Amino acid sequence: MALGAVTMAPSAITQEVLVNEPVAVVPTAADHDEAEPLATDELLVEEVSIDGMCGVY
Amino acid sequence: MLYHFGTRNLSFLKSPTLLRVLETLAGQPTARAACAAAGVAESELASYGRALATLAGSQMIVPDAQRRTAPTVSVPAFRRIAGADTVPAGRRPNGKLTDMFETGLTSPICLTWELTYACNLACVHCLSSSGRRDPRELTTAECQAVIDTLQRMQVFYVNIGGGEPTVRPDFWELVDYATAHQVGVKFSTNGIKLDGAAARKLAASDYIDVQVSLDGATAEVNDAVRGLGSYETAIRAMANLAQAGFRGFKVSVVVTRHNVSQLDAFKQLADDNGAQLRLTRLRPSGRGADVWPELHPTAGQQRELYDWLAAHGEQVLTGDSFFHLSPYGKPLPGLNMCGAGRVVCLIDPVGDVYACPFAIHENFLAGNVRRPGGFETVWRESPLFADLREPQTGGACRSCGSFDSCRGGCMAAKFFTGLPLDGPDPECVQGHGEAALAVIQPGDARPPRPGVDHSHRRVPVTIGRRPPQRACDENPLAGLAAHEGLPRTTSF
Repeated sequence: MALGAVTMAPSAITQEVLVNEPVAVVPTAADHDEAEPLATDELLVEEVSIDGMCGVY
Repeated sequence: MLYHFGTRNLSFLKSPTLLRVLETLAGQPTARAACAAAGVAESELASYGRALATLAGSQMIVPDAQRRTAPTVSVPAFRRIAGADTVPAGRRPNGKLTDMFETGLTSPICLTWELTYACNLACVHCLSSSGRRDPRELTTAECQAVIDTLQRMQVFYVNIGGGEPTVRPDFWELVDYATAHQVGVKFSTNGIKLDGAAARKLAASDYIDVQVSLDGATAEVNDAVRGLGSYETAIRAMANLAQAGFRGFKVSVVVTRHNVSQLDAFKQLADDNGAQLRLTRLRPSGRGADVWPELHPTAGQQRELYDWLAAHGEQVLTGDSFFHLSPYGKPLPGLNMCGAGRVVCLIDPVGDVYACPFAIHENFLAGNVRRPGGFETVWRESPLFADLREPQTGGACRSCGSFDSCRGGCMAAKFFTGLPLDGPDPECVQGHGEAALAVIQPGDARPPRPGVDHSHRRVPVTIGRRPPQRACDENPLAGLAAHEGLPRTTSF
């Protein structure tokens, strides 16, 4: 994929969430060794399709 | 983590740098510039480019032009970034998603919220033994306070159920309140209140999903379980949703011994209404404990179900509830794990918090939202939930070659059939559950009973044709027809 112009959150609701809420998701840089190379893409993002989790109806 | 309400896709960002790239995207002319601004080294650009492509493929990020031109309320997506402390301290971010889920998150991904025990029906397998409203039900203000908490915890969405949630007078008010506070809503209904106006309101929102319950592709099969007239009510609701243009609502089916043969018909029914079929597992919970022996699929039917699900893949949703069948072959779509107390839970109508909606029993009661600290404290400090987040031993199942695929099955199914929690699932496909049940002697302790019962007192709940609650349920001229010679089929 060419690194073109992409962005997130096209809706009013999500825009508000993304702009106004703290969004540091995973541990901070202090918790993560930034010098450690990310060898594979699997280390950057993992996706799964969920239909609720088991334990939700 | 990102959740897309439209595709039900969850993305786990394993690099803080990738998160910074995403946060920067909207203000940069190109993704390359966003990467540079976030501190991505040139040598890492290819990896970040592929990660962004993955996110674009799942619609987590969209072209800038699309964002600018999109109407504010009609984008078929709901994306959020869950809490700043989603991953408990000390957990490395590059672990696998399921590994992290098994030891729990500091906020649930989603949860089931039963708003009321009141219900116009009396389904024989009702998980919550619903029927009568509990006078201690959370008030509107208390529900709004719970929603405020869920927003603060950045819970992605709630699955609202009951009872029949739409009979609460403030149901729509609470739905609007939740979506206005960035908490998505999916709700289960028998369709009783889904008239044309309600369907049009739902169709106009991208942050509400609907599951219409139906347990038979014919009135005969459905009504034997859900009660007289319930098939017609559900079909009418589905037609209203389809006519209002609500695409992709769910037709929610509990698979039983009597409807396994109707899976193709259910699929066709969903397709015909522009909906998606969602199959879930019958559990011996609530009133389901009483009918479990008669209704749970036979071993042969379970194999038939697995093959059907495997053939249909992600066209058919399952609520991830059939992972006990995975040892038959390739794992079914989903996470194939029990999320109880780890990433999901249940809030019941009076504010009690249970590990999951299939385990309404004091053994799985974690606390109550009315107590100091509310839901957040229950989720984060409950000893029960802490225990569920500990590595599970697997007990006798650990030595089974199928353990890695079924994980020992459903905790609630084991509990309410009297099996040990570290033992096999009662529907274990290797037959270990049946063997374990067979050695339970008549003199042994009876299986635990569900913790609450709000069943209608005067409505017998049995499989098959039941007496109507009121004579006019079956005949609009009840009390007159026999005396005045009017035909029984007359209607107004």
